[in-house]
Amino acid sequence: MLEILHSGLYTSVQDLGRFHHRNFGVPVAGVMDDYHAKLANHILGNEENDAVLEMTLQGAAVCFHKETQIAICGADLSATLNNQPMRLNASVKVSKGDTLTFGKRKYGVRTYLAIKNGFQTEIVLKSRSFYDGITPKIRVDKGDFIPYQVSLRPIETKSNIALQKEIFKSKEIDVYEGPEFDFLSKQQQEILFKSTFSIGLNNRMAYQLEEMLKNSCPSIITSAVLPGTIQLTPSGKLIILMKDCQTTGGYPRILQLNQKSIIRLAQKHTRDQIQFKKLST
Amino acid sequence: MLHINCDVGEGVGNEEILMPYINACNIACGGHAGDVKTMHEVVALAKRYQVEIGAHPSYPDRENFGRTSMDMMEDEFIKIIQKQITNLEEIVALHDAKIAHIKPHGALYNDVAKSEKKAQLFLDSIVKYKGKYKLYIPYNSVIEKLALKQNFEVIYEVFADRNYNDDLTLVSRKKEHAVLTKIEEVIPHVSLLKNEQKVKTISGTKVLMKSDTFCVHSDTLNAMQIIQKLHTYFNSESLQSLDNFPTYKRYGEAGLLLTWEAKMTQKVLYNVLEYQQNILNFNIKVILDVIQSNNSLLILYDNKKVNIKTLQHLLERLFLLESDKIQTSTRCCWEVPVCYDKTFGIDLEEIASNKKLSVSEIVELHTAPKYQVFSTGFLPGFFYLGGLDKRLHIDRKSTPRLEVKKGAVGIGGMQTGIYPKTSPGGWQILGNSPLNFFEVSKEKPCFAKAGDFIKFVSISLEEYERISEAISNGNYTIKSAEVC
Repeated sequence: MLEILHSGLYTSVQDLGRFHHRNFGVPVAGVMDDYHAKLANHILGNEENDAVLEMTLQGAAVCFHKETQIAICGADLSATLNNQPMRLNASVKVSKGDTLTFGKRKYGVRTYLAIKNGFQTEIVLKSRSFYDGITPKIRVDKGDFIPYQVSLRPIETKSNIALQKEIFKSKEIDVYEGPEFDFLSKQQQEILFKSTFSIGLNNRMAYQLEEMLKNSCPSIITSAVLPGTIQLTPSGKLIILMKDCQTTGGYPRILQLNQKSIIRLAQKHTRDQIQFKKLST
Repeated sequence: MLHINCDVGEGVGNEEILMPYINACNIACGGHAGDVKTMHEVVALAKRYQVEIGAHPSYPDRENFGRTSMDMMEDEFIKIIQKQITNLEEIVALHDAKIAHIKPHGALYNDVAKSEKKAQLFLDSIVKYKGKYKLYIPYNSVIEKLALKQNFEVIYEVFADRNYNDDLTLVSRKKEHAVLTKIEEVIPHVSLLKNEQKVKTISGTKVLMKSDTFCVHSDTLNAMQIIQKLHTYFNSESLQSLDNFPTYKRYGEAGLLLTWEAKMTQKVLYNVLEYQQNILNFNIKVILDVIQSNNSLLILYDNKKVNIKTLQHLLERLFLLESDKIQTSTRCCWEVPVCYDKTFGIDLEEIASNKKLSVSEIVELHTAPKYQVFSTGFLPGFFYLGGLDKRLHIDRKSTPRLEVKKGAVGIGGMQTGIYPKTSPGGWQILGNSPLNFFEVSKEKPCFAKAGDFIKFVSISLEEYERISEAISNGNYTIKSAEVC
C-alpha cells in the first residue's frame, strides 16, 4: 500500500483513459500528459496503460509500505526520497517505510509517479482513471491507501533519458482546423494565428484563454467533442477542452490540437503564453 | 459513376485496400496465378464489398504470368480453360456468392482480340456458361463480332491505364508509352471515353470506342493512387448528391466527422443510426471508436495504419452497400416513472403561472408524448430527448442552480431531460424519477440507447418511495416494450 500523508494540490490515479463508453456520455479522462506518464511506465518495464499518480503543481507526500521500484517523469516538483533529492526519469528502488515528498516547483505543471506494475485501484468501465460519478474517488486525500504489488527484483537503469525540454518551453501549439473553422471570418482566422494567447482558468476539464475572440457564430446541434478541441462561446471565450471534458458540446469547434500539443498544454500554467500554428491537412 | 474493374488474386496482396474502390474484380484461377487460398481470400473480400466476381482464365503459364502466347492442342486448351473456371466456381459456391463474368487474361486476351481461330476456340470453351456469365472483351475486336453473333452477353472493357493503337489494339508493353502511369494522363483518357465514346490513340487521332467498364492494373506503379484519383474525380460528386449522404470532415489527427443535415429530426437520427450500425457490423479493425450524436458520427481511427482519405473512401463504399435487413436493432420504449409532486417539482408553479396552464395540465402535456432518445452526452447517462410539446418550450433559469438532484426531470429550451446525477443545472424542474439512469457496475451502464423512446408516467409520492425501495433491494424491473 501507498499511504497518502499529504494530498498535494490535485493528485489523482490515472491510466491512459476510458475509451469505448463515450456513447453513454462517459468522458475519456486519463493522464493529461501521455508522454511523461508513458515514459515513467516504460522506465519500469510496465505496460503503457498501467495506472500512475498524476500530481499537479504541488506534489503529494507519500509513504511506501512495501518494497518496490518507482519512476517520476514530467514537471520538476523537487522530489525527495527520505529527504534526499530523487532523480527524475529513472528507476528508483524504494524500501518499506520510505517517504517521498515534493518541494518547490522548478518547471512544468504535472508530474507522474509510476510504480512497478502500476497502482491497483478499482477498474471501472475498463479503466482506473478517476472521474466524478464513475470511480469512488475524484482525487486522493490524506489518509488514503493506494494498493500496489510488492516487487522484490530491482531493476537498475543506468541509461539517461534526455529531457524533452521543448515540451515545457515551447509556446507553439499545433492545431488542425476544427469542423466549424469555416464559421470564422478571414479576419478572425488571422487573429487566431497571429496573436499570442495567455492561459486563464484551467483544470483537467478545460483550459480557458484570457483573450476573447469577438464572434457571431451560431451554436451547432450537440455533437461529439474531443480532448484538444477548441470551442468558441457566443461571448467570445476560447475554451480548450482537456481529458476530463464532456463527450458532446454545442459550441462551434474551431480548432483541434494534436496529441503533441495536448501534452505541451498539460504542462502550461495560468498566465503562460501560447501561439497557435496551423497544421496542413 | 465509373465502373472500375481490377485483376486480382495475382499475389500482389493489395485486395483489401482495393476492393472499396472497384465494382468488379477478375480473379486469377490457377492459369497465370492464384490458388485455392488466394481465391478464397479474394472471393470473401469481394462478397464483403459487394464487388462483382469474374473468372480470369489464362494460358497455363505461371512462369510468364500468362503474358506469352501459346499454341495448344484444342482439346487440351478447352479442358484447361474450363478447369480454371470450375476452380473458381467451387470456391464461390462455398461463399454463397456468384460469378458474374469471364475475362480472358494477358496474352489470351490479346490473341482472342486479333485471331479468329483463337477467339472461336475460347468461345467454344466457355459456351456452356453462355447466358450465365457475361464476357469482358474489347470493342471492335475479332472476338466481339463472333461473340455477338453467337449470342454471348458482352461487356465492353477499356483499359484506363493503357494506350491504344489506331486499330483499337493495345500498344504492346514492349513499346514506350504502353502504360499510363500518371494520373494527368489517365483522367483525360477516361473522360474522353466516358463522355464522347472516343479514345485518343497513340497516333493522336480520336477513334470511336465503347466502354462499359474500365480496367485498372492493380500491380502498376501508382495503381492505388490512380484508382483513388479516378474515384474522387468521377464518383465523389455523384455521391455527394445522394440523399442522406453525410459530409466528411477531418477532426484532429485521428478523427473523421460525418455530419448530416443540421436538424434534430427522426429521419436524420435514423440515417445516423443506420450508418453507425453498418460501420460497426463491418468490423473494420482500424476504426477504434464511433461516437454518435444527434446528427453526426465521429469516427476515431488508427492513423498509423490508415490515412484519412482511404478511410473516407471505405466509408463511402459502405454507405453504398445494400445492408442486411436483419441488422437493424429493435427499438424499445421505456416507461420512466416520475413523481410530479411539489416536493420534487420545484418549478412547477412558476411555469404554470408563466405559461397560464394548471400544474395538472403541465403534467399531462409532459407525460403525453413518447420522447425519442437522440443521443447520450453532457453527463454520463444524460439522454438528449426529442419531442417536447411546443407549449412547454421555456427559457432556462436565468441563474443556474448549483445543485439539481439526481433523477430531476426538467425542461429547458425545446428539450426535456433527466439529470442522471446531482449536478449544477439551469433547467426548470418538473419532478423526479426514482430510476438509476447510469450504473457504472453494468456492462451497459444506461438502459436506453439512441433511437429508443422514453415515456414518462406520473406516480404519487407513495409509489415513488415504494419504487425507490424496490430499486435499492434490486427487485425493480423497468417496464419496456418493443417498438416496431
